[in-house]
Amino acid sequence: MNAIEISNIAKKYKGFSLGPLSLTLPAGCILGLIGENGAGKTTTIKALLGMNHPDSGEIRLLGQPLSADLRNETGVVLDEVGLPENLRIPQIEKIMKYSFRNWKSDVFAEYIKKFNLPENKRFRTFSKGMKMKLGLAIALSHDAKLLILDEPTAGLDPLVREELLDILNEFTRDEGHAVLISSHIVSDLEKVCDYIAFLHKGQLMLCEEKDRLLEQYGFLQTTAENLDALEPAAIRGKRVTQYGAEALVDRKLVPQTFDIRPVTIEELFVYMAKEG
Amino acid sequence: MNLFIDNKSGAPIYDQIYSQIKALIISGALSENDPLPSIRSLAKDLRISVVTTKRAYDELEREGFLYTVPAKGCFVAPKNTELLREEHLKQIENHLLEIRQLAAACGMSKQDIIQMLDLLDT
Amino acid sequence: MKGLLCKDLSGIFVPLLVFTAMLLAGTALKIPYFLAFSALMIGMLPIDGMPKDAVSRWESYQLTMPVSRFGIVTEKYLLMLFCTAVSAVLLSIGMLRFLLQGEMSVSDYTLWIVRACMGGILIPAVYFPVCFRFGYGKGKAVYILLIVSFAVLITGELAVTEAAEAHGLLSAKVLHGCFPLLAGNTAVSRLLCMLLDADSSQIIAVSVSGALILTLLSWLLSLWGFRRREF
Repeated sequence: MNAIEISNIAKKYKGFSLGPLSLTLPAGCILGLIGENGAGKTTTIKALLGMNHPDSGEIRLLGQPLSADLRNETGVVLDEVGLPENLRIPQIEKIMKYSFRNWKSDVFAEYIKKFNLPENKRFRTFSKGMKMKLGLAIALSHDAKLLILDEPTAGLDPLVREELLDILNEFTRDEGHAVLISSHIVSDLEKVCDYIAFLHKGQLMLCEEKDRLLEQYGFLQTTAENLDALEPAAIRGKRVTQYGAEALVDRKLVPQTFDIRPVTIEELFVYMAKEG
Repeated sequence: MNLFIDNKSGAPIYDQIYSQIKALIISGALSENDPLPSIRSLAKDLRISVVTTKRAYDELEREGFLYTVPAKGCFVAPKNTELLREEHLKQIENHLLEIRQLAAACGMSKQDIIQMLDLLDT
Repeated sequence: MKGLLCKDLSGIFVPLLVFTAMLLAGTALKIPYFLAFSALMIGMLPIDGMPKDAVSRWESYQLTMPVSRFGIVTEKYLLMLFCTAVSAVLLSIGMLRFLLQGEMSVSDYTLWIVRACMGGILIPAVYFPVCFRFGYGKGKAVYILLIVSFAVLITGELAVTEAAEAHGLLSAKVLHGCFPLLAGNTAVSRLLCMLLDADSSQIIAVSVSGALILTLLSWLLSLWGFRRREF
């Protein structure tokens, strides 16, 4: 079963249009959505939550059309955790207990302890990292099958980011679980994703298995003349300076005599975005 | 079972898993009918993609190095020496083709190649 | 909806206690102003938390929870009815003293309770649809506009009330020293009843049914507006 099926959604805003976009996330996998600010990542994620209404297209989560009830099985952390400012954790938990069908108080308590969150301070005193951690604790404490995270690591220190990636890794040990995470800190996603999708100016540039991308593409540094001698189809993006040239190339279309070094997902995205 | 995956080496990850498990099986470090870790737990423990791990396992199964028992898991297949020999011959042939190609690119003859081989042996 | 009710009820708990105390003080100290004002404030508590929800981004966060847009809207209306009912009950108790001591007739007593609690229905009924359609924060401008227009209505109400008194529709004693309340609807209906020569029980009936119809319309409008809202 697919955890997420987006078919041809499109949405037009003033000055920006998204799609048509189709995306599939198989169960048991983690998909990283990468794009620059304003690429449409948040718009896409909000469409998944029914927070905006696409002009066309269809979305299915966990095999079903969107509904409020489905959110019992999705854990969501958006870049802003909008909990009431003057509440403390026990009060917040009470609200969640009455809202989610499968709320697990013991699991929540464990996460609060693990994240070192203070039970007797009001939410407004929490730092950004603490707010995100609380949002994550809530998302993980009601037997969710699908985690949807929008820029959860922005503004967090490397230790916390690593903790989050660990949690996502563990979450997907269960093959019925899946994660969609969007970020513009590509290095984080590269560590943990099975699939990578590039979103640029509202269009999906690609959606592929991460490891296949890393196998297919490489980075070549050579002279400008050598570069010109290659098949144009082999070059996915290039930069020529007075000292030489570097290019993102398709390994299969470049003779093996060239020294091609591995490429990072970040480089892949930057070169493709510039070219496209 | 020791597996070392190098993210930076540029060698495809599925290939690294495939080759290392195959080597362990051929060398005897993994014996017949030994259980292999499940695809998912191996992927999560090594922090690599499940899809990629599955690819490696599928390849190993296709080549007869492991077999799957539904609901139980994957196990090392009994060694088939004939299959292994064939495997190795195939690989040698591929390498030779490559060597011939490279040699042609820099104008070496068959004799030059054999000379190089002798030099390596000394 | 249960979770939302839990959140909102715990949010209004303390103000509710404060205004209840104020109301009881009004009974004890015979200050009708306290009574009327508290009743109105209790009726308005549902609105109280909404600008805060806008600031804390609860408005969009709640959509990540398993509650439908229908549930979000309906919960606020249930809260509104609850607060109005509470204000009516408390005011009835608080004003019992005036009734029992013969300072008010039963019809005046009922009329006063209806008038005082009207604000708790009218103001949210106008405020909610704006909030749901345009954002909890934008509703604030409308809120202020509402207060201003009701102030205007109060002045008009004073004139009507005095005229009503002249026609013997309301006992003079209760009027003296009272701060006139927001009950524009009631003033209009009373004017109408006055013109049609109706008595106070009919005024009450018209006012209450008018208020309920308005609430229903407001709820439907809010549902429509919130369904169209995008985040």
